[in-house]
Amino acid sequence: MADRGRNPTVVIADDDPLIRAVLRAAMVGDGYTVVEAEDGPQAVSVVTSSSPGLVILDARMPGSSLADTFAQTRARAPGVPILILSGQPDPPPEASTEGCAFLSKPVTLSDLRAAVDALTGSDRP
Amino acid sequence: MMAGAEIVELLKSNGFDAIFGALPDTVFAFDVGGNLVYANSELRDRLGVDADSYDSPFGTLVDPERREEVRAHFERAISGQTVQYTTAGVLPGGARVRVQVVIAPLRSHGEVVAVVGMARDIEELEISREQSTALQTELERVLNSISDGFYFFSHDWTFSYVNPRGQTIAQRSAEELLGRSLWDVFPDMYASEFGIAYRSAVAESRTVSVRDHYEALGSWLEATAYPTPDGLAVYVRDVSVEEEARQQLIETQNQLAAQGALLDVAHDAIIVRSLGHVIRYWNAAASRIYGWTAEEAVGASARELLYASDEGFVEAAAATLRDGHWSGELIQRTKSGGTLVADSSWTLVVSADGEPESIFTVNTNITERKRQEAILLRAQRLNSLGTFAGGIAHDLNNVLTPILTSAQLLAEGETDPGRLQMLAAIETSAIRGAEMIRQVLSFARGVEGKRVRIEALELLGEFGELCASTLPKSIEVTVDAGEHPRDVLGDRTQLLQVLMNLAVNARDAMPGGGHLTVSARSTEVDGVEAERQGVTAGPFTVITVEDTGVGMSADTISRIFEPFFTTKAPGSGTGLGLATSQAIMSGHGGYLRVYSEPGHGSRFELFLPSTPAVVEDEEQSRDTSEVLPPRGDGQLVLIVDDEQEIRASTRRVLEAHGYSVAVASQGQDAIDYLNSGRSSVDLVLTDIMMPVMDGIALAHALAVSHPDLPIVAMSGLNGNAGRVGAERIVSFLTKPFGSPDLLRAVHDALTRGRGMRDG
Repeated sequence: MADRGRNPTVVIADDDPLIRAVLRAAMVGDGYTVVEAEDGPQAVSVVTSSSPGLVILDARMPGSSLADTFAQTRARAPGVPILILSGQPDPPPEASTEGCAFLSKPVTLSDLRAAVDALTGSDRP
Repeated sequence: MMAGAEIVELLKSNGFDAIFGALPDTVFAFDVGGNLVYANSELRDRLGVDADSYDSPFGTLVDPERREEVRAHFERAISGQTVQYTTAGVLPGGARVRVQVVIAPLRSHGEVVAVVGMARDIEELEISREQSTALQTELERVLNSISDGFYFFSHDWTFSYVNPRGQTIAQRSAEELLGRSLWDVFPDMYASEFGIAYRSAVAESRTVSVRDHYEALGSWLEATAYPTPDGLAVYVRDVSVEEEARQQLIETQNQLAAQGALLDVAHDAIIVRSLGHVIRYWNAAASRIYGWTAEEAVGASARELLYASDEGFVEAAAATLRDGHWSGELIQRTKSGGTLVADSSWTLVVSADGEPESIFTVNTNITERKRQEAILLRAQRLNSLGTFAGGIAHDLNNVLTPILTSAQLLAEGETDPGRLQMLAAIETSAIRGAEMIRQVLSFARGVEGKRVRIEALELLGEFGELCASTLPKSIEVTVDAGEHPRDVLGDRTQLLQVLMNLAVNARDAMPGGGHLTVSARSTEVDGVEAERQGVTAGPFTVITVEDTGVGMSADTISRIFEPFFTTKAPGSGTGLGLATSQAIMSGHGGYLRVYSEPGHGSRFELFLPSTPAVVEDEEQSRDTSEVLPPRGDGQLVLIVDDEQEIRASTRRVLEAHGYSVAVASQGQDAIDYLNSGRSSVDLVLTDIMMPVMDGIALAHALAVSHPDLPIVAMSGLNGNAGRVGAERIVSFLTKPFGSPDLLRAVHDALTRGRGMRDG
């Protein structure tokens, strides 16, 4: 999905601003355009408005459950890969669905890149 | 009539005077007129009396007061009688003496012509007789006064003396005894212990004592026989009362022994001791508990035997004497040198007359109970710790994320070696911190897990492969299959985690390399060991992990299962590995056992309950054999479980049976889902043990926000069943559960929940 040169958009949804900041730095460094969301509903909203190539979802955010956010994201942006990040070591059930991956925090840069690459099915933009 | 001179002549002529002269007594003759006609030499020479000077038979030699009496005797002699009498004589010096006199008429041609007599001074004889009487009186007084029986027997065994007490003991009067033979009065005594003793005393001329029950008198007697020249003196004490008391004591002891036989099968040590704490009774349980046999303990001081110090003991003893009772916990020691905690109860035993007599003690060995209490307390502490750890782990991971990612991002554009080194340090620390959080979380929920049938050998093989790929080449790993061990029910991942933890510890214990042996076998855990380990007795499968490393001291072994205890360098271990392993084993209904010798190595044994030999597919067999509850009618069930597999399988069963299903992986998600109000959830099916917000906390929260919503709880721990009824939890499912169990619980909960709502 990520398209080299066209700066594909990634939605980073996490209620922790520091985490959003580092993820943004990593993704921007890799050539993505980043749109941030602080909670579930906002994530659903920006996913709808920004046509992202990838969505990074924190498993626990205020406002809604992961299940809800995930389901709505899938509904609004079918086929867009979703990377779930969690403070818990175990993946949520959504992680085992098609086009979805899971990483437990804290994430190393290499794990993040590997997961993103696997989801977008391409080399870094 | 013969004249006096003639009489004298007669006496002389017959040579009588010579004979009379040789006698110590006085011999005399008076004529019928009362004139002294003859006096022998004793009378003449010693008393200075002769015929010329002495006037009458009752003259100056007779006490004036007795003269008339003597005159009467004389008259009777003249009249022809022989008279004997005792009278008082007066010696020439005036001294009075008692005199025994015999006088007889002397006849000539039928006529009494004179009175001839003989007088004997019996004064000394009388004195000695009186003395003898006095002595006898005194002796009798003494014998009468003594409280014991005294008998004298002649050589022919006749009673010659018996004192009053002797009569009482013999239950016969002196008249019935004196002069009669002992064997006649008491025929059965001859063959008794007494008869035998008396006869041997006589035959062997020695003092013989005997104590026995004498049937004929119904008494216990203690007799001592002293042979005397005249026969046998026997001194007898009636010891019936004393003996009955003694017999009673023996009986009491026998009863106690009989009771003891009962008490011997009891758990508690029962000890009776004197007020001076000398042990008098010691039951079999005491022997079992303390190690000393009754022979060793009885007679010893309880204080010295059982107590290392006065602490506690002195206070207990004082309280018992003061209040009659004391109970409390005491630290005691055993024969093997160990110590134990006894729940001790002391009771003062008071005799019939109210005197304190002994102390009766019942000791329950509560060492194990105390240990279990400590374990339980620790488990509770760990539980709270786990909840806490689970709660903060998520936040900590979020905290670490920016640190780790930033450090890595910065390192990418960095060329300065110093800065790169520092960034590497930040990165390493963040990763280490994350690893610790992972372990803490793993520990926090170590007890919960899947329960599937696992072949021990398969598990062993998998572990062996893991070891081979993880451990350094310097460590040689041997997997010893041995006999075919029984299968176990468990969580493969968790069990591998336990084994890997042991393998890592073994690696660290063998820095220079060594040998790691892994084996499995089947065994039986008996009741005692089961109780000690807090598991259910029965068939177990034991997986052994043994290394040839540095080993551990006893002190280390005693602490290795404590959370955060570690022998590793700071930062290289969390101290949670074995604590987690133990929690996992405990969650499996098993336990970990360790044996180690410093310098030689350590051996860890995983005891897991074996599964029954033949097991059908539980779910299927129940499906066919049990009538399923009615199908659902599209009711929405929210499944809350942190394990994806459980959620998926439960969802399949419920959906196949007509229910709608929503899932949540943790408590907060469930609450969020319910609050979204998107669908009307009819029932919440929640796991109890979940990180962060567990099932109980969820139930609490729902009781406030959704008071009508029924909740069914599920857990791998039966102990959680006790929490049914808390809040809105209407029933409880123990994992692993079959479909019918699940469907029935859901159906029942929905029915009851509707009842509650409707009512």
